Amino acid sequence: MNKLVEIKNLEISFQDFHGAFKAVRDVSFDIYEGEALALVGESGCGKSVTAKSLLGLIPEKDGSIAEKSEILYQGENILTYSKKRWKEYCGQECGMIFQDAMAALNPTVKIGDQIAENLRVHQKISRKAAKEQAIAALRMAGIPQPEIRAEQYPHEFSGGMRQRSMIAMAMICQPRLLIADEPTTALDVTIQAQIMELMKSLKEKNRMSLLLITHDLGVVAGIADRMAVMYAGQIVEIGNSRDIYYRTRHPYTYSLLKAVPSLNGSHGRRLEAIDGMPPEAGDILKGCPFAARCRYCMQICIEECPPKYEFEDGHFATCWLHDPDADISDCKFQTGGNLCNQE
Amino acid sequence: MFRMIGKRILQMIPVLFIVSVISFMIVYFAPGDPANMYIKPEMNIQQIEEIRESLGLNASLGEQYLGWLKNVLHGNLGNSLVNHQSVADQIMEKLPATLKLMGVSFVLSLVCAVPLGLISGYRQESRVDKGISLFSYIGISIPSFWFAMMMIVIFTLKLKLLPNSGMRTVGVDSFWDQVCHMIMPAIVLSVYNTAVFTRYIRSNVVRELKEEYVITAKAKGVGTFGILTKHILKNCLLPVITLAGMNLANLVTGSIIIESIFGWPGMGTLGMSAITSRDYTMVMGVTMLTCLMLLIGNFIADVLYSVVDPRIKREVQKKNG
Amino acid sequence: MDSRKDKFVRINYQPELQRTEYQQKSFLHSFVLEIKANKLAIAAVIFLMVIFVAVLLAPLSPYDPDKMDVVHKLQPPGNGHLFGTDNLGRDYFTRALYGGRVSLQVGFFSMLVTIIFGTVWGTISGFAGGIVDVIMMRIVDIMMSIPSFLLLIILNAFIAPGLFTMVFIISIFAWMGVARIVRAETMSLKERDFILASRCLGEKKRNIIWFHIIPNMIPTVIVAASISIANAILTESSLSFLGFGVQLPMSSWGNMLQGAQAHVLDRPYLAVFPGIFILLTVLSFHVLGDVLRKTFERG
Repeated sequence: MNKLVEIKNLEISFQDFHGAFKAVRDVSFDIYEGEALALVGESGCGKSVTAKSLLGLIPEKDGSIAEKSEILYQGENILTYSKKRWKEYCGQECGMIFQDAMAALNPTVKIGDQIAENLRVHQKISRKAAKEQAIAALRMAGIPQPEIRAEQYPHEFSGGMRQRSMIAMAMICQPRLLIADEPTTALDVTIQAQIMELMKSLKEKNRMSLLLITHDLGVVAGIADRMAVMYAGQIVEIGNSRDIYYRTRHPYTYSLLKAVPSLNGSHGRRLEAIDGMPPEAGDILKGCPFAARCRYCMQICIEECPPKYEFEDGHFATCWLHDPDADISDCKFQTGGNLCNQE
Repeated sequence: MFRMIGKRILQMIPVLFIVSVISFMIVYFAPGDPANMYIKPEMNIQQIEEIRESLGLNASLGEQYLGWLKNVLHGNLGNSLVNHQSVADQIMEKLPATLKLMGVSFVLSLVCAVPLGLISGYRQESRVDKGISLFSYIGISIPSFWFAMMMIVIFTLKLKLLPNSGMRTVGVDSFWDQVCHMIMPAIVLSVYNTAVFTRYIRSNVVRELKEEYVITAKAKGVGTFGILTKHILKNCLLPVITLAGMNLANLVTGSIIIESIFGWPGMGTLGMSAITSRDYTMVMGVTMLTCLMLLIGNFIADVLYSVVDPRIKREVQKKNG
Repeated sequence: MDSRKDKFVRINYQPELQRTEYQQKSFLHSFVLEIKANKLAIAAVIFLMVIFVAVLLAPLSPYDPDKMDVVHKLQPPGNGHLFGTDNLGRDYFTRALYGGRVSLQVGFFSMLVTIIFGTVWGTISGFAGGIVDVIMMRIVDIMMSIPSFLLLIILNAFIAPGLFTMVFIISIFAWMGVARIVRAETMSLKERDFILASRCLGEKKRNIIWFHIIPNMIPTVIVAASISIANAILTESSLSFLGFGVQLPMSSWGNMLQGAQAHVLDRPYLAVFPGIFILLTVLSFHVLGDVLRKTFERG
């Protein structure tokens, strides 16, 4: 498969009243064509910021992307795009869905117009034709009576319908990449499944890539081909969904999976919570950011940043436990792997 | 919708009534005797009493008020104590001039304030924003009469560009002439409202820019101009409608001063001369009419607001079943 | 190699993270910071201070503000008279200082009356709720629909014009705005948990208002106060300009302008100075109000 997006050494820092801090620290990963990649992590781990940087939505005033960072879209660095190219890229080649559809839709503009706007920005198309396409998009997103619905305002929609119209809006230009930032967090569980199903079918139909941001491993299990687990602004483990689920290589991922309730098997299993709090964005970190909450914490973990290890094809984790010298007594998951060259 | 409008109109009646009572009392207790206008030195006390009687000035406060109210309910605002002409006729004669001035300056302030507010809100803390902010600070702080005076000094007396008084030059009846007469009073009258609206729109823009739908629009590839005009403008203008209705009071008050400075033949001039000559019926007429204008202004703002904002429209529909 | 092995020993790591200390800054401190960040605010504060001091020190001026000197009337600025002299030969600078006294006093006392009355009215209305609230707010609505300026003039005409009648008259038509803001604030405060808690503890209503609601309203009220001074000074000057304000020989900036009207062509500086004073004072109070609001919002 070809790489659609390559993110290299992404580092994003924010400036606020109290000083600067890094929200994303040296993150690199790729998105392949036609795949669904899930970016998983607790709130505040930098996953949303990473996604937003793909659309240039980092507020210029207080956020900045480091010079060395590169985001290559089809081989071209989008961070060096001209203003005109940005406008073409946003919406047409890369669409985005947000967590809170109510807030993300303009309350005073009709749904149909908001969807059609995406089209009218990118294509020379008459108002009427755009509207027709918007209605078609609504129908495709599974909204009944799209002709009537297009004339309504966001507050007249239910939560699931709003998210469906967000999807219709993001999809109308048939982008190559769809970014979904916690698309189902604000929805009921039954609706969640429907929305995920819709995204999956649209993804397959349009052969686009999907970047799913979520804190809920359960939600993405059925749809994600690959997963990247983020912690404190870094990717701690990345690999095929299968590998992540069944051959977990990082204590954080392991704890995350333990914290997900499952319907089948392991009856009477207690859900395991992860003790402690993730470090705050402003905290000064030395060594592994997860050390403070890790049950296998070793002296080196608080002194040096762990290196990256490779296991199965394309499965990486950054953890000292994979070092041959590590104390792996009572370790619940498999250790050992090839140390990657760190440049 | 119609029920709401009906309700609002009904609510206006008691307000008008109480305002009339208060104004009447203030006018009644004010010193100075309107009869003085008619009293000549050679008159004796009996003659003076007759005049007072004929003007209805000897009745008690209650009687006078009820008499006035009865007339008003019959559509008769009474006759001026000074020139015995119908108050209503005189007001109607002056009203168009005032409305014209107010309308022009209101439109002027909106036309200026919308782009200024949008720009300064979007380019927050930039040099442009600071300039616009300074301008709007000056706008809300400048004493209008002084501003008018300075304008007259500069444009009429020094540069001799614009006429300083009246609505038109005697004997000249061209549109251009009227525009020239209008320029200064309209600018002076609109400067306060322009500043208030600009500040308000700016803070709205700053607030709306933080909303997530702006991010959605950016993610769609909508440019700055599109975001401002298609998304933010509507959300910002909605509250401005209410503010505009409330600020009608400033226009009415402002026009009293401005009209008397520029000799604009409108209600303000009429009211001022009525006060100095203690022409009570006229004062009452002008007061009630301005009060009515205020109420109607607020009312229109309310209705407009609920028509334009889809969220409120639905609530109103719900409430009325 | 052994030392390397040592490093891979399990430890029980419970770090005390070096968190950024969020110090509670005093109000004055953040206020000063906010002012420093804003050039306009620095200018406004300095201007207000200068005006205050100058107005207080007005008696130090070598001239008597009311002493006429017809020989030296209408002198241009300079030559011993900083702002020149007016049509009766009085030193214009000294008069402007004394005028400032009147204008600032009217502004300050009107603000005081407006704020106190508006706050009390708004708090009671908001706290009582129900029919009391409805009636009190209807009264506010009605007062707001009165075209005040005409009545201001009439009132002023029949109460002997003086400093305190001006204060009274201006406040009568100015308190409603404050009452509205305060009422809204009270309503939202009333539902906060700490008020509910003290209610549950059986605290008297009067004490709740006095110790909980009013202290929490201070930010709102301070901002409103600053705007209200500005507006009172403007209203006073308009009234005085039209000849309905403080009466001669007392001077305020407004009636200095009234006097300047006659000489606007040959002696424009007579109109310029008081006008600039009004403009800058009012502007400074507005700027100050905005800075205060920002400071309170930042917290």
